[in-house]
Amino acid sequence: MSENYRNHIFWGRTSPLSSLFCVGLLAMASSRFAYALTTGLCLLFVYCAAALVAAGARPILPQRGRPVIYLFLSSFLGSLYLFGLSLFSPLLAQHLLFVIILVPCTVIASGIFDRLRELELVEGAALSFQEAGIIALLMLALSLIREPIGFATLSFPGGAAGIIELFNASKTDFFPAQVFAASAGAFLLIGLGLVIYGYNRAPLFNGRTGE
Amino acid sequence: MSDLNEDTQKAAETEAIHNAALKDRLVFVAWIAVMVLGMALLWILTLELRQYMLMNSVNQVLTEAGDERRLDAVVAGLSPALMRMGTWYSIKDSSSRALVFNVLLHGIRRPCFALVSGENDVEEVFPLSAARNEEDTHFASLVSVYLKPLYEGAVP
Repeated sequence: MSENYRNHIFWGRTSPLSSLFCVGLLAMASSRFAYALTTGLCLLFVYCAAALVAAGARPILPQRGRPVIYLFLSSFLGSLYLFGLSLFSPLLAQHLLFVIILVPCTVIASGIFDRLRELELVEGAALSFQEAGIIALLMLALSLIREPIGFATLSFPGGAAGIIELFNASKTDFFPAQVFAASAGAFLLIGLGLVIYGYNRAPLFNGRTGE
Repeated sequence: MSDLNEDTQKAAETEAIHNAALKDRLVFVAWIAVMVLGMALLWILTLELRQYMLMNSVNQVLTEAGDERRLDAVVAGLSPALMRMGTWYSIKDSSSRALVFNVLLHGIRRPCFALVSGENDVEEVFPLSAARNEEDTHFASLVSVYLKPLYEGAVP
């Protein structure tokens, strides 16, 4: 297996779908498109800002205990995002408190800071942006399946209540597909997605690079 | 004489290593302290602003729902058991109070509104969400769990 394959941002061993560090966040944040969009932005902000601070402040970081500093830094940035959200849309911030708490944990679990050690500021920011972008896109894709099937609606962040529904087709009390809106449905879809990903991983990557 | 010089050199090296380790620890503590204190101060000092923004949002939700009630101001000085339940607001031209609290449904917090009389009787509860279809049959039972102290009259 080539080094390029191992380190590939989507197909490599450390990619979000290979190492599965983001499954908890994917399951929780993708129940609604509005949640996925807001959490995706949080992820991009925390990833990129943490990478920039970690790379820019490298000379003044202590030699020992850096992982703890990175954990606090990610939590600090996540908290800053939540604070901004609580001023901009207080009810949406209340909805997403637990989900946003998971973002710093996901950033740390991704091991991005280990990979940033050898990279320059701009390269590190680009890598962080790509990795966060992939998770955000996965979240959005999952929510685009879960919300219309589970709730028969599609939501966007906004309005006084924090969520605006574009349409609402669910009029009956009995709605069996609602299981996809619950965590069980999320894990069903993630499991299915992982099977497809694992099955197509090598052929698709080799086909793309001509290896 | 050379032994003495070596000892002195070793002692100086050891002291330099100790100083570097101490400096490293101080830098570590400073990083943590700045981040924790900075964020704690930001959240604590803006509590009133955040409560005000929440009140505005709830009032907008009530307006959109055609409800004529309006939250007026934050109610402070209630018993700790009541304060732990959520944020309390007075209602314009009414002796009742409003409680804005959260219930956990499918792993996501749902902000809710409860109208509570002066005698701590729950008069009305509804979710502050555009997504009413989410608040399914579990909602009523969940709310009763969260407001149990009020329903049982266990708070002063």
